[in-house]
Amino acid sequence: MLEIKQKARELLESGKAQVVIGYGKGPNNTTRAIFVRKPEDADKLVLDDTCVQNLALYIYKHEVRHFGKEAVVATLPVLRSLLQLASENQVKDNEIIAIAITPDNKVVELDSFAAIEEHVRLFNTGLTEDEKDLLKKINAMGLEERWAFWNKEFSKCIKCYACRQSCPMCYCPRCAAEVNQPQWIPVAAHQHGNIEWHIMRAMHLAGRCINCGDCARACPVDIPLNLLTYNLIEELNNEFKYTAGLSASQTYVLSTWKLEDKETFIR
Amino acid sequence: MVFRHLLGFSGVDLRRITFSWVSAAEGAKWADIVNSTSETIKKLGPYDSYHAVAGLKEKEAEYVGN
Ligand code: SF4
Ligand code: SF4
Repeated sequence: MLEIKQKARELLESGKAQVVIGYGKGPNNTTRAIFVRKPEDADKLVLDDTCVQNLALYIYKHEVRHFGKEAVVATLPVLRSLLQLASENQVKDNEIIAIAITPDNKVVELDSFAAIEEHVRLFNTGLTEDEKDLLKKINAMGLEERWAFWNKEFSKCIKCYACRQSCPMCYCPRCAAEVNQPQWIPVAAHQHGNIEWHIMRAMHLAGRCINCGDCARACPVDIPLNLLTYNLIEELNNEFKYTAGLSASQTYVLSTWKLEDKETFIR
Repeated sequence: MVFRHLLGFSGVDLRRITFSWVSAAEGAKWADIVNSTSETIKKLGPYDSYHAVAGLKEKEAEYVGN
């Protein structure tokens, strides 16, 4: 942790970065994102088990870009988000400095996508066993039971869109959920609209979700909505050998056609 | 494939959904697919679990008056 502070101070002092996005303590001992702009404030940075938020969410916001060159304290999900955003042309190479931790706890400065790709390869990027078990449980349910399960979960949704706001990959300035001419998704938080919202959200993140879990953490009514996209991660892995957020140059799986793609579902 | 999978995972009855690729020149194939799909669905009967939810949308329409 000390090294993170040192690194941040160094970057700010040398002018290599004008802002360091990192974690800091908020009121009541909560952990939240902070934006450090002065070298002397680097001491406010922390990094511990409570630092789970995906900070990649902030890197392309113009309020933050406006500060100048950015550096970000980058956990694995942040690095993978950076690569995914790069493959979607949302960030440029060498535009952002990632302050990352190696598996043996050393602080490294990654300033190119190539360096980030190499670093990400050192880690296990798959779903955890617990997550896989949850998916298995849902997949093992009968049709009626699964419909009832998701209906019960979706019925809690209040359409606050916190899940969308928390996801680094949900960066459209105008979300399809808010388009009203034509209105794709009913606005009211009734069951029909909730199902449509969740299916649309998950589909838009298919092959883009990097399993950070922030959407589910942001949900005030604890809907395990991350499982919808996690299930698609597994599916894309099995069917197309594709994983999001591992390379800055890979093309989007759903818009690329390959000779070996399976078409078993088409009659 | 991915969308179909997502629907299945969300508990939608996949027997009621058919994906196909039919060229404008394949009239017979088109008729065949429509016939067999509607037959399967007729056999399954009305989709009650979905109707229960879709009804809510109509209620909303009444409520907002459109
Ligand atoms: S969908 Fe959820 S888990 Fe996936 S990248 Fe977005 S916030 Fe993270
Ligand atoms: S955060 Fe939860 S309640 Fe809010 S829109 Fe998303 S799923 Fe619904």
